[in-house]
Amino acid sequence: MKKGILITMPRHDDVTEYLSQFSQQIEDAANKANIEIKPLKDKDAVKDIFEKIIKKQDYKMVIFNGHGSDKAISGNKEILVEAGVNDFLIKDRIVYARSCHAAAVLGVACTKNSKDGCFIGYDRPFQFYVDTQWIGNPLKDNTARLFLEPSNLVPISLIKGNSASYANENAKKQMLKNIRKILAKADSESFKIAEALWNNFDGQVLHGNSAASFLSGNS
Amino acid sequence: MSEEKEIKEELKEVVIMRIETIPSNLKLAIGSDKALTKEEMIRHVKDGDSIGRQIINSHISFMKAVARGDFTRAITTI
Repeated sequence: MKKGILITMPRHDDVTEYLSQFSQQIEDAANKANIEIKPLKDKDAVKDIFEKIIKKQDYKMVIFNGHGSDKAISGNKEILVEAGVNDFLIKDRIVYARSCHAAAVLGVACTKNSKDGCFIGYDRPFQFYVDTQWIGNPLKDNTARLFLEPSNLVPISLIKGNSASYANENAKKQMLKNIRKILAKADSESFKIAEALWNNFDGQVLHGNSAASFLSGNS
Repeated sequence: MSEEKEIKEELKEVVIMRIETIPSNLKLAIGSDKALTKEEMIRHVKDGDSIGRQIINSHISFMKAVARGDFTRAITTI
């Protein structure tokens, strides 16, 4: 496998727009570490392009941004990868999926009998609040930032050479720090934001090889 | 059965009361194509559809974590 990253960045609705814009931090981290990163943006985030790139480039890490279900992850309005259909494409790779539910079935399926691979994702809906004042400029939205920056720490920690276990825990630790920060404000929305952050903290799971990293396996 | 239904309605009301405290400038992205206003969240909770159930489940999960002490332990040990 090649030491590189495939990242999906659809932007066909408000939710995916936010996920993809905040993924710029991940791209920046990869560029800084001189790791090849191939984004599938907008209309390129479709199944045939995803399959073609992953087969041809054989990147070690795959990062998904997009809507999901327990068995599948979507890109630009279509399913990219699905358990029992083409999940073999992400087997033995390091996968982070910022998608609802996908860790529940797909994450388990693609790491079954895999020695080197892992899947970090969510076994329930990934949630975040947005401030409508910034909906046209997501990167200025400090409310959404509370959710999306900690989740970015999963792939960013991996890019820095850390293990999957460290990446998972590091991201969760930052979620807890953000919960403390928001509760200290004691605003009317503090408890609801804390509840949504807790949802992501509690629902983020790691399947497969917890020691997996860019440095391990056949890269 | 009617007691179960009564508890469920009570739970919906608690969740709705919590949602009503959210400022109107905030929307929630939760398993839907678009982020939801608080009015939309309340409608989903009242309808008891899949999104409404996800909102309620998130609330239940959080309250259980608070009641068990898991939440306090987690945020005080970082």
